[in-house]
Amino acid sequence: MGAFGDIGYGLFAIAIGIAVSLAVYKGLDLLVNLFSEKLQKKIRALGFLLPAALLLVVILLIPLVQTFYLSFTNKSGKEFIGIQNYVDLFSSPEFLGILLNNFLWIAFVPAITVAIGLLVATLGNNVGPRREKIFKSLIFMPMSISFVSAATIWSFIYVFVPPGRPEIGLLNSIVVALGGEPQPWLIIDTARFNSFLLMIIIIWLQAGFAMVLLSAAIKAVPEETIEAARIDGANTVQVFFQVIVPQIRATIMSVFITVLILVMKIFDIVLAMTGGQFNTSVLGFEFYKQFFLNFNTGAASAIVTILTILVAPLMWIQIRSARKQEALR
Amino acid sequence: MKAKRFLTAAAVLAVAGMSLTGCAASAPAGDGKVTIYGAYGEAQAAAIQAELDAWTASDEGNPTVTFTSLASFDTDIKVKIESGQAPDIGVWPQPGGLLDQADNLLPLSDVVDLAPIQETLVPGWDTLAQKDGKVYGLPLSANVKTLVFYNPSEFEKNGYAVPTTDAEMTALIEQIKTDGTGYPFCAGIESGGATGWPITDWIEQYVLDYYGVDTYNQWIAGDVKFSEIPKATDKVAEMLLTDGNVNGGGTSMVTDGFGNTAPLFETGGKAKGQCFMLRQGSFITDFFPDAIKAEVAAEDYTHADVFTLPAPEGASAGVLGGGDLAAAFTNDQDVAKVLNFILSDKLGTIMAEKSSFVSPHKTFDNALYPTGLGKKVGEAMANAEVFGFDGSDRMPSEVNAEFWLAGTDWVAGKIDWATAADRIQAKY
Amino acid sequence: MRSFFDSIRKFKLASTLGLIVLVGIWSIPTVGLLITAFRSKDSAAATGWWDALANPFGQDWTLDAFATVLERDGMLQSLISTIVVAVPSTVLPILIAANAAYAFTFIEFKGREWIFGIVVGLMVIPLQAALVPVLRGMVWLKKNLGISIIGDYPGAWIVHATFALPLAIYILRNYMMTLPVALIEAARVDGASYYQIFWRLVMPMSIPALASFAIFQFMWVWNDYLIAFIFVGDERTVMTYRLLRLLGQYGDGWQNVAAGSFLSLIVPLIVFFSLQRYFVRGLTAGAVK
Repeated sequence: MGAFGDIGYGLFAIAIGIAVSLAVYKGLDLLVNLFSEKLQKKIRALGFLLPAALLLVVILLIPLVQTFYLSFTNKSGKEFIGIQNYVDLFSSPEFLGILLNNFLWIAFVPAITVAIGLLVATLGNNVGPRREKIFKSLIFMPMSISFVSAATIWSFIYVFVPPGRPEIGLLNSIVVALGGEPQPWLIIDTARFNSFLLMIIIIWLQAGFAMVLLSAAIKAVPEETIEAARIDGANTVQVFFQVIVPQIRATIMSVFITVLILVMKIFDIVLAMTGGQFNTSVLGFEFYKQFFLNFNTGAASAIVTILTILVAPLMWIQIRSARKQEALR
Repeated sequence: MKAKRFLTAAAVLAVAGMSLTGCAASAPAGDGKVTIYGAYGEAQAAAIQAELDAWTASDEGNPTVTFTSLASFDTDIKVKIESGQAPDIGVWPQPGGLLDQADNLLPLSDVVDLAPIQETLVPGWDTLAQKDGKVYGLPLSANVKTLVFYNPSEFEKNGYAVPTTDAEMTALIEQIKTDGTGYPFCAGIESGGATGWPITDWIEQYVLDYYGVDTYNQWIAGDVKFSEIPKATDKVAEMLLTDGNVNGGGTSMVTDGFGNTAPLFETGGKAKGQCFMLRQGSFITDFFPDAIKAEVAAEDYTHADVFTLPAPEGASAGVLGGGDLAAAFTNDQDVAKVLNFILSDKLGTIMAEKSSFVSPHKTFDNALYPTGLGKKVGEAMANAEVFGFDGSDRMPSEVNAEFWLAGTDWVAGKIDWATAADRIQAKY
Repeated sequence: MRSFFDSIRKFKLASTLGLIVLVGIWSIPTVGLLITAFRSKDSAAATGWWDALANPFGQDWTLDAFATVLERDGMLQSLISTIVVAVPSTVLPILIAANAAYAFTFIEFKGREWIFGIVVGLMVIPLQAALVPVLRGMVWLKKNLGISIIGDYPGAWIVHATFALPLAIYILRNYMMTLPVALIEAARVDGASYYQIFWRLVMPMSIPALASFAIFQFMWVWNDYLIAFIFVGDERTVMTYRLLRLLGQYGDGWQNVAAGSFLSLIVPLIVFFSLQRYFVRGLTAGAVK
């Protein structure tokens, strides 16, 4: 068919897709208008909500419940076997190691990402708008890089070549320049060192996102509150931690949680960098492995159910903060 | 129970076949397009596509064939099957992985007439992918793995001779180490999602040599345990994991790509990480540096040649090899036409010229191998008395995958062989 | 009286230096990629990319790697496939979410807060949690009814769109809450229908939020590997999959992987920098403070 056939097909598909959705909303509007004035008031919202609701229920909610059920079934997903999958998982040291990895990712990545984002946002605020824009764009750039590309990029840094061969890994060439021995970084699992190397990649990717939002929040802090603190004799550091940070706490939280959610699902980086070898696997990757490689529907569903249960508290926090905003209006 | 499962599978496939071709007849005509997924490297994938295009053009009735190499075939094909996007034909590098999917595949006899194809195959290859008396896959290309690649000019420079016995091999290894001219072996085992497979080849070679083909087959079937082949694993450890035999030792083996052949052609000695021998499959020539590839194509063997890995004392010499086997997901006349072509001894005119292709057919015209090196490999294949098909590739795919993983951990020095053996055995 | 920010401008130099260091570290990986993409196979294998930077004139700069990945590896075809996957996967959820957000903001109905709460909660659900049943369902449709959603673009569009909806509804609603209600009420009094108000007033006024979500979603879809790989057929392979394949090709050299990555970066970068001014405005409306 070739590339140009694809363009035609793609344009056609895009046009049809959009036209159909527009027609659906128009149709719903006309349909609602058929009813009596009184009834219209009650079902008016449906005309706008129905497509979204339908997709969310069919593609997200029902499958979610099905997955929960499948986690109590066997390999093929056809026979009910109770909590056996969970028993197997929690009695396997390998899986416990994976949970530990996920825990480390959660413990370090969101906090460090927010800290770096905050640092850049604060420094950027001091250097004048033109320089700020350039610096921020450069920090933000990795945000538009895919996990797979990022893995490629960081391979140039972590790559290990045997002694004597031309050194093309940046990290090792620095180590050698400082008088050290080249190291096979990605297979060093002492203290989960290699997992930390993978975490650096995500921090590198996401710090820009944190910076953009935090920077906007800092700029929105009213000067008067800062003035007042200065008059009371607070120094710069105190002003930062006691006046600015409390006022942007909501943004910090929302950035933190966004990165946290992303980190919990992390999959591509592990796939591309280590394939889960050398104790670097995480829940998202283990799900992929169990479902697609071992065809173990039951175990895969159990893993993803555990993941969902782990994110459930975040769900609560999200709902609560949305409520709070509501109250502020 | 089994019959019922088979019927269900057949019914599902029949439906799938119908929806793909949009035709309800029992031997549908096909839509003029056939898709093949395989695991070939870039050179071989380009070569087979060229050959298939030429075949399509050769007769008006021939369908268009698209050959796609999946990034990581062993895993990606499973994703494709699970997500309902199986191709018409799959070309597996592992008969074991192929047979795992037997429920999703058609017995080849449903699609093509097997007798003429099987007749000309090297003995043993006709039944590699057989389950319950039905053949699901047949080879279209082969490779030989009992080969050691070396750099003749470097051997000459240092006064080394090609070893013809295991004792000579051991002496040569010692000699290289004493001289300090380089490292005896290059042995990268990194291969993305399939990291570890080269170490399984080493182990298989010595299981075949030390224990003979019967034990070798029992081992593959799971009847002889991984802990019961100590001669083979000790030998591999002696060859590769002894200090100074491979540059950087086990840790560098697991991070070094199997296709990194540059150190074999290095001339700067030990300080530059030069190595003298590389035991690999015949396909490794596709991974040689461009300059060396050009030399070989011009029949110039000053920098690259090959010898057979000598069998150890008191062991019989077996030829180890592998191959890529085609299996059918759909049945129509187009698919049958394509299969009849790619499984025959006719396939290879372009592939042999452009890549490291080796035909699994005894009757393949030896003159088609463009170089002396290719002819050597082709002869080794056609004349093999004891031929062992790559063992790990015949194991169930979960066992194979664990063999790769545990083998890698073993090479990296993270676990001992006893632990690795237990881990692999547990997957049977 | 000097303000805090004035006093802190004393630190302008220190801050600039600090940022230069940070930005330097942040840019190293990308710079390495860019340089490698323009090197020949031999030099990429022989020396580190920083050597090329130290000695730019002693290098054999070349565009070979780009030619190779575009032609041999079909990166051009993948570029198109990726666009066709990404555009509807961005437009559809925006359209659907805008309608829903409009209802949640301007139309009174029973259980509004409650339903909105569920939508917000769904934001955190990992998409893997629904993947298996969705996949099974689509395979069933294909095998039993012959409807090929899977193996083609629509499968990816539907899944991407659905999983984007909670965040999109959340962001758009937050933004719509800031729109002047009086204006909308005035339009109602003038006899405009809800449908007309949505298209003529609310959508045009929501452009910053629509654009900021569009950037977010576009980059996410563009860079996604899992959904595209599973739901889109192989003839329409997306760039991330090709890249992963290049990454696993030995003897092929680093320069091809680098060139492929470079190509995959260009479009999202253009999208980001051209819509950048909307990004913060839309995303922070309501979210900040």
